[in-house]
Amino acid sequence: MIKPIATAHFADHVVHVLTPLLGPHTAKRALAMICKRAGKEPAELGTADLAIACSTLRPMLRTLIGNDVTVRVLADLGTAGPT
Amino acid sequence: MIASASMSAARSGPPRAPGLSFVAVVLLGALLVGGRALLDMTVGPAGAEPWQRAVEVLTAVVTIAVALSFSAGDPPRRPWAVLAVSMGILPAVRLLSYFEVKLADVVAAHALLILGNIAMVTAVIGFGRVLGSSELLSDRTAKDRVRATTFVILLAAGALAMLAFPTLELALRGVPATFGAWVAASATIVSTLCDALVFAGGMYLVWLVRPLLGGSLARPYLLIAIGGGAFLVVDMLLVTAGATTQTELIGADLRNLVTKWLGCLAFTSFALAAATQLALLRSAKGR
Repeated sequence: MIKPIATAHFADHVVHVLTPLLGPHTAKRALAMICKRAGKEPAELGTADLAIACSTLRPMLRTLIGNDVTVRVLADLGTAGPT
Repeated sequence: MIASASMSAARSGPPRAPGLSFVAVVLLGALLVGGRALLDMTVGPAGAEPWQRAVEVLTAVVTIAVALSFSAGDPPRRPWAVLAVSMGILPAVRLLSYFEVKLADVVAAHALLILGNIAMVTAVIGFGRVLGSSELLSDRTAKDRVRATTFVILLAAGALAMLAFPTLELALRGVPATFGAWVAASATIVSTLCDALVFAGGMYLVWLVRPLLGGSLARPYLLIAIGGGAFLVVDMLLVTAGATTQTELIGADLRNLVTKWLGCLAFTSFALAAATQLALLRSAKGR
């Protein structure tokens, strides 16, 4: 079972972008799934992991809300986030 | 830069949830249901019926708009399309009922009501399947599966128990003598059973989306659950009144009025569910 994790930095940005749509609990759970996929701790995540974040989230978000909103959310992860 | 992004986020606070806000949903709900109640109290039920029909048509239109707003291949598109069919059938039921259209001795509205209710159950099952298939909402452990299965079985048992009430009530009225009477009796039973299943399905949706609470994605499903519950109560009240549809309720006594207000609440909940979903989809397209 993947547990939600309290985080900082890029991880904060991921949670910040996802929370309005998914709520705080599931946003943190999504972050935990990205971390598991990347094999990193939340504090170690950076923009280099954006592609992994997108590939992890895309199928799950598309199932829940469709392609258009998924594309927008993933764009928010990339554009408004840290560089 | 990472730190600056975090600081910027902290300064601006949590971003606004996309779609309709909770306050907007409550205000629109109060407007639609309150409008019906106000008309009932001032000009009487006959004067309030056009308001109710308008709410029903609005529900159908917004639900259809949601189905059309999803891209081809989006998993939620199918259940929204089926719900749109269901919500589109109900205004047709009212129209056929108003003109007293009959096919042989079968009241056409009753036959269509059966189809609409089955479509609604199919839609709610579809929503459950879509939400349940997302890894974000399901840990997929054996324990969770057992819990979910138990929950659904208990809800289904409750739904079957609900069926006993209208069946007994119909049995006390005597066996239907004609095919048309059988269809009318079936419409009542199917409607109550389907509303019980929609209510049970709605509770299952709430159970599924509980991790999403606080996010705008949960709102349409919570509103569908509220609408399903209201429809079930309406059906029980209709059965005790010996009616199949709300339009058959004559008189302005409190029981009839409460039944009609709950009916308005049910349609309003589905309309707002669709509106929140539509606003969410439009928020993506508008950027």
